[in-house]
Amino acid sequence: MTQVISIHSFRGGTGKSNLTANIATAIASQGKRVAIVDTDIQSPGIHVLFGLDEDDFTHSLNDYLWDKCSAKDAAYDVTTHVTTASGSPAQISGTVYLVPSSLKAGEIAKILREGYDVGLLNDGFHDLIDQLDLDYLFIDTHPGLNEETLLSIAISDRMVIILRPDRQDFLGTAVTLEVAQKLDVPDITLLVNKAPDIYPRETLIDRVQTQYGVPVGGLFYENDEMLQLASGGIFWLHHPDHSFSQEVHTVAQLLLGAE
Amino acid sequence: MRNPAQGESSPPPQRPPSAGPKTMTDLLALADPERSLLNWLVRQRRASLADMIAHTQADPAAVQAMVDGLIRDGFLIPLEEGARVEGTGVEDSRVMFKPNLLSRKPRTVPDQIWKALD
Ligand SMILES: Nc1ncnc2c1ncn2[C@@H]1O[C@H](COP(=O)(O)OP(=O)(O)O)[C@@H](O)[C@H]1O
Ligand SMILES: [Mg+2]
Repeated sequence: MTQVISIHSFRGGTGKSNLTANIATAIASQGKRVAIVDTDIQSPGIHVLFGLDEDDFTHSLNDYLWDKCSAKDAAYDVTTHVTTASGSPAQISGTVYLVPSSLKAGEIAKILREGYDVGLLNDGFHDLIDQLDLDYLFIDTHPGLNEETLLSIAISDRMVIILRPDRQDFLGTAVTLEVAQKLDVPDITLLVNKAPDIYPRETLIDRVQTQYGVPVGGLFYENDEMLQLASGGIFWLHHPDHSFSQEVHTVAQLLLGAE
Repeated sequence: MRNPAQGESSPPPQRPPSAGPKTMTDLLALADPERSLLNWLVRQRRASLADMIAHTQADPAAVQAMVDGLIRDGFLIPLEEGARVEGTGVEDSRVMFKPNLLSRKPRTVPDQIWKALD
């Protein structure tokens, strides 16, 4: 069974797009077929991590929602786009597809103004799963709780919530969890990102798990290499031996194990 | 299903008047049994009354009443194929229903901002 996994955070800048791209690529490196859909229609961005810009795609999620193309037409195979630190193509045994969201101001405005049918988006996800023979479908979402994020929570098999060790993130995550429970999400995993290195790993994981009663699937420390990469690539391919990268693979393994 | 539009003879099958489409926020505000049925239906994408009875394992009459209520309030609509059967007045348990949910209610943000960007 294909797993639909939506990735959330209550606030922006948490590392959602970077972690989504890294985890999805790590899963693909295990021979899996993976797609990422950028449903962050208001502030799309995950395509940047795969080295794509606006000119590289003719169709977007918006076109599908307006019946201008099939969902598959808006899916781009980005496997060969990802590179290592030396700039050479990474050897990924599986496949990563990306469905970008439009970067045209007018198109962003139109979809926010008119909305779209929830069933249509869900049908598009299932078309992708069937036609691209996917093992995993990741949904990168807009931060916070809004209609679109509620929707992606409602249609996923698993929800990953990313939070920083920050009071505002903590409060927001509690609200998000409450909503997720109301939407009967079968499986919830927390990822802690941007942890300052003064916090010992076990203490922090323990604290978060006790606070929410939900398992922490990974803990990522704030690091300079990530800041330097500045969303210019898939981190673990650039820094394969970094502790951040090892944690990416641990989370990928966790998701693979739940198959 | 009750169909208020029954008896009308306009050629294209008319959607029954409803309060929908609804949003996810509306769904969140529903009472537990309705919300949980709709949550399931959103994941299923579509289901018949028989499917819903099998899933909830509740009394068929109670499920029928819940579905009627959800249709009346605009959360559920019969699929196109189902609409035909519905016109016959036969309560066909094979009629498929789908959630009638929109990502957001249109025009929630001042129009002139969007116009400026179009
Ligand atoms: N663990 C980390 N350490 C340092 N910088 C990070 C880390 N995780 C993410 N970042 C940086 O934070 C910024 C926001 O990340 P992004 O993935 O775009 O977040 P979001 O999608 O949640 O808004 C990016 O510049 C990214 O490089
Ligand atoms: Mg993002």
